[in-house]
Amino acid sequence: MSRFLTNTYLVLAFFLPGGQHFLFGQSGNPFTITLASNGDSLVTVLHQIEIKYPVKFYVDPSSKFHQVVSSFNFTNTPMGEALHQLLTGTDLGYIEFESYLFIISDSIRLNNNQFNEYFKRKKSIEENAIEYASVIGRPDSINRSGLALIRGKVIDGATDSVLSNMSIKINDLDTTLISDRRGNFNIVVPVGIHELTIESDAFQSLQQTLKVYSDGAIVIKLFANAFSLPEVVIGGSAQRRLENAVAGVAELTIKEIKRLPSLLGETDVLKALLTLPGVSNTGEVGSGYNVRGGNIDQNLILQEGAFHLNPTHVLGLFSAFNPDAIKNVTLYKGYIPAQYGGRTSSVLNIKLKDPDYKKWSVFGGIGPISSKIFLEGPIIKDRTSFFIGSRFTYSDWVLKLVRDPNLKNSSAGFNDFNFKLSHRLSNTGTIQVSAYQSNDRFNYAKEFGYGWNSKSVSVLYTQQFKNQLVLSASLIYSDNNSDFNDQTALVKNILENGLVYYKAKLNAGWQIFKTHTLNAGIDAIRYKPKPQIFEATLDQEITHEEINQSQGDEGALYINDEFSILPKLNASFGYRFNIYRNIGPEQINTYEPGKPRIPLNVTGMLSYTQGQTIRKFQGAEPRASLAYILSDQSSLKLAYNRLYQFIHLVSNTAAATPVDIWQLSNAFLAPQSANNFSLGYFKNLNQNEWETSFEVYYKKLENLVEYKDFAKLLRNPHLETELFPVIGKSYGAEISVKRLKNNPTGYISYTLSRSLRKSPGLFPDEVINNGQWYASNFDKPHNLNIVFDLQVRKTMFLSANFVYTTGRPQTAPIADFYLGDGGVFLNYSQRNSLRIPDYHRLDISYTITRGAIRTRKSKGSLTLAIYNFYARKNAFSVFYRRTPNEPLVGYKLAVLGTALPSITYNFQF
Amino acid sequence: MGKVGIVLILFMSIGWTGCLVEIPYDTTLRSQALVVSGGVNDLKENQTIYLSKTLAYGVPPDPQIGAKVTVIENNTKAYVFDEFQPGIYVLDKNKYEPKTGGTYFVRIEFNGITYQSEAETLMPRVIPDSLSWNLGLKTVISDIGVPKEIDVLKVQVHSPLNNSEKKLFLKWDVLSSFQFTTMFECNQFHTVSTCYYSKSLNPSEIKIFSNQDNGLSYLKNQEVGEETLFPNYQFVETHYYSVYQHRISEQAFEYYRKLRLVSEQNGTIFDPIPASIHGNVYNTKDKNESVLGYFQVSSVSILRKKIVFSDFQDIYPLLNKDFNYCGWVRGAGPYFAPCCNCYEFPEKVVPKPEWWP
Repeated sequence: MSRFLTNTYLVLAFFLPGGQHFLFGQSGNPFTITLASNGDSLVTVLHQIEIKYPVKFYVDPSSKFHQVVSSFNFTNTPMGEALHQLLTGTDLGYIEFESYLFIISDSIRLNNNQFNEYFKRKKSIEENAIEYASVIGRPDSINRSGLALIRGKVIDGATDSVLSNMSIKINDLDTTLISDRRGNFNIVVPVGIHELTIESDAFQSLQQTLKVYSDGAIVIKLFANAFSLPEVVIGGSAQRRLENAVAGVAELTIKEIKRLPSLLGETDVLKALLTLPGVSNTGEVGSGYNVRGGNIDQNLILQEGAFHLNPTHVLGLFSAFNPDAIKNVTLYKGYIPAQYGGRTSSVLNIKLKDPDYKKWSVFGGIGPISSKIFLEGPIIKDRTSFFIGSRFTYSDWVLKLVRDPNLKNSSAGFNDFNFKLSHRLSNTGTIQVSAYQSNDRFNYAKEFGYGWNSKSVSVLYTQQFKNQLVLSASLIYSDNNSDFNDQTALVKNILENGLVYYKAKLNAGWQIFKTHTLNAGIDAIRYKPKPQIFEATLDQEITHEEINQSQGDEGALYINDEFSILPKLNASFGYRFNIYRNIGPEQINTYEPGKPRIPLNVTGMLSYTQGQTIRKFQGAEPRASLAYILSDQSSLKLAYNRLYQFIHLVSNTAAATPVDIWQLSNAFLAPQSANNFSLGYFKNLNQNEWETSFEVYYKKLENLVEYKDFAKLLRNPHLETELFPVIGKSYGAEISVKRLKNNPTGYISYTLSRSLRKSPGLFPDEVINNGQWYASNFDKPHNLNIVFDLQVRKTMFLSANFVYTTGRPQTAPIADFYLGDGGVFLNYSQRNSLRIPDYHRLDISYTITRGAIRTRKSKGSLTLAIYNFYARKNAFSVFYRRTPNEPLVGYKLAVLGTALPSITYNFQF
Repeated sequence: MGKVGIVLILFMSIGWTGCLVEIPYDTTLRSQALVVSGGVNDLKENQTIYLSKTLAYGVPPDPQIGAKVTVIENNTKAYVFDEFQPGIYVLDKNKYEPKTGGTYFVRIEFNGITYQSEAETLMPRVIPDSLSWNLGLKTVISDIGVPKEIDVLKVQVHSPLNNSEKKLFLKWDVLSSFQFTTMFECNQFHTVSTCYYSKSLNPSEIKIFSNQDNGLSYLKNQEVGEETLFPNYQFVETHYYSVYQHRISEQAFEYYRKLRLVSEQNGTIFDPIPASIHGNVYNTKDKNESVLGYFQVSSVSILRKKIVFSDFQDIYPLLNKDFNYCGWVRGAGPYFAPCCNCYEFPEKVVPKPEWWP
């Protein structure tokens, strides 16, 4: 009896194949039954029918199904008619679904429109939910028990070898099981729709919807995570994030990124990053981002192992990363595993997706300011595949719409290109070639302009061994160029700059006893800055000048182990040893000891030949992160990093620009270093529905590069005369509350932080603000982010994003002064002692998914978005200008000074 | 091909919206710093040094009286300046004998504190060949904060640069002078008087040049000043531009370069971050004290260019003297307002210059 009574029709609700119809107390059932009874209860009769015929009854437990039915003798009686007779005289009725499912309940309830609507709605949900589901069993052979046995096997999709010890989780049942040594697993589940998740360090995570009718088998293929095999892969479940030993890490999937409201419909990785606690923008536009009060050059931005010097297009309006090519984005801002080095603040690791080995896809886009095309597919099925993608802009027409005549006469454009080829050499070896190219051009009012282009090529070979050992070797070449031209001066001039680097990395990843994840390797970079080339033209007279830049080698050995010290104590320990050499050819000045490095104190010049060591630095970077699991729902994490940085962005402009100089450490410029500490408490609530965290951090920095007032940084062969070292500290607290499940989802994060600098003050020119602590350019004490995602209906989503940050520091006028009896000029405050207005912005988008927009040949989704919803005129910069005989006027320049609505229509066919 | 997807983005924006927004200035900010400006040159003219203290934005600096101002030549000879007006100290031209190649610095004794400048050398002049002018457009910020273009007259200098000197540093000051004759309608006797006006052209726009970065041997079409053409009463009779080409020191050039940088902030990302600019004057006992301004030692060459009404024929529609200039200047309304005295215009009235023919 219980085999069908224990189920409610809620189970059935997930089980409605498309195309069925509803019947109330009537039957269109084609088959007949033969059965006789005398005085049995209704339940018994239904039970007998179930045994004898392929039908299933669901009975409302609250209804009167134990009452005795009249005697009957059915002989080849149609099923519907038989049920009608059985229920005559009772208060019961039935609903038939297809030919084999019946719900029996009080007639009043069955006739209730709400009941009908309920099933219609469930049917619709099921239609959407099971679109890509794996089907187990057959609809016409549903187990009468309402349960089904799934016999599963997990194998490596590339090699077909079985995968043991894989953790398989049935999310909705909150049940986890492990595959045996043959990769098999068995589980009994209620018939219906289930979500299955498999997470592994060595394989790409998999989420699969199962549509279970009856007993059946399923083979699950996992594919190696070629680029990060035994590395720490963060993300996945909230539980995993809670227990992971790596502190201060955040991951965004491309799906999450695409759900955020975007500027002009262009999905933007970097803008999504800014919604994370501790990450803030450099201003309304501007190249880069700040992490925990760090400078933008302190962030290592990796894409397929190649680091990017300028992660943006169009002065920061758009990110340089093509979202179509990205798999996921991971930001390390607390503990940085020893595999990464060379920057003192954070690591952003952007993983490109693997090209599809099985089928071809083409995606394209046509927009008002840019278009894109993306193609992927197999060259040799299951063996060699590639993708190629490009974005390009034609935004000049937009600039023509602007009222400002200067912008009207300006032009801006960019394009980028991604390519990836992946080839499986054997069952366990893969070689991948990736290429990236980016071009930017901006001309302002025929007065000045800049250009930026970057290209990189990387080759990665990965070999996996049976004992969970993975070796990977990569070679990377990158070429970055910038130019700046000034057409306003009498002497038209152009300045070109560039940096080439070669990088090699060998990494061994080893998963030992399933408890240790060990990474060890060697990293080497050769930096070859291009000479600064300057050309000045006056009439026919051309002046040509070349200034050579410092070159350098950077090498590192590292080892990192992530393991459980105790059942409740997870740890990650790393050690990285760096060696850096500043090498020739170069000529450097010598200066009088004990005196400032200014041209007046030059005593001579030293010449170094090609490859000759000018100065060498070395340093050890111990790193540790501990996670103590306080309970199933809470943990405490502590992390420490020591980090060195040998390349520095030298800029004294209001915001970083693509034409700023990347200066290597040299005879005068020591590597900057950081000691980073962080402590965090993490707590999940209501079975991981809510994820909360509270983190505090403190950073102590040395040898930060500071510039003298009005430093001449371009075309200066002796930058040491304009730069000097300062110390710094950053500290703050981050609090975050996320709702990961149910509706709505979203999160709120708030960061309270300071980022300060202090000049030791050896010489007057090198003393800033009388030697007191002063705010760094990116000191923004308050930072609030709110992301909200509401599923309004099953196919409609409302998303919103709000950001608030304190205005960044500035140096502002505090008084007038006169030179002679004529010009009036401004005296400025101490450096960074005042602030520009606060920054805040609300973006909103409303998406109607493709389930709601469907034609015979295509499906589509429509997104309405408004960037900067309430048209806040956020200041990109604040400056003061006085026209003759007029008082001083302060202006703030708002680059995006109004609401920017856009409509994005996506469709597939 | 398995699946084909096309993304179409439609754009409904009301336009790209970069804009400048005026913001209130925080007038509570204060600073008090001594400002020293002026200097000495090789002209046989009165030499002037100005002393003041900053107060706040929008508040004129406070002239400093009672200071003892001395310029020391070659560490031997002292020229003592007289306080001509509050904050203005003058050395009479008859007491001054400039020496090319000599070094000069200023010493200011004031309220028990001694300020002094770095010594600078009076170098030989760089003599320009000629002046020229042409018309052009200039973008300015309108009253409503929107950039607009206006017609301007640009003054250009052409000057050889001594090839043997790899580092030449020049600075230009331009004096705009014109005459205007009052109108005969002003009195029944139809008598008129000729007035002379003079002003520094764009004194807050610093015009400097150095050949150290470009190695140029001749400077051609160097723009040294510009003047708006409307209202054009200053061009209806005779107009002179006097260009003072100063040869200055490298330190002075650096000072003016920085001053120019902070004066020309326009909010782009390419703007250098401004800072308080210290010149070459310092407190002898406290070098951390912020002293503004610069004591300039320069050699000066002067060129003049005459412009008359007919020079604009066919190139710019100058309004002749019948135009209602004084009505326009006074804002008196549509009726004709003849210019009847020398003080109708905002420019400073001066005696007829010695050099005026």
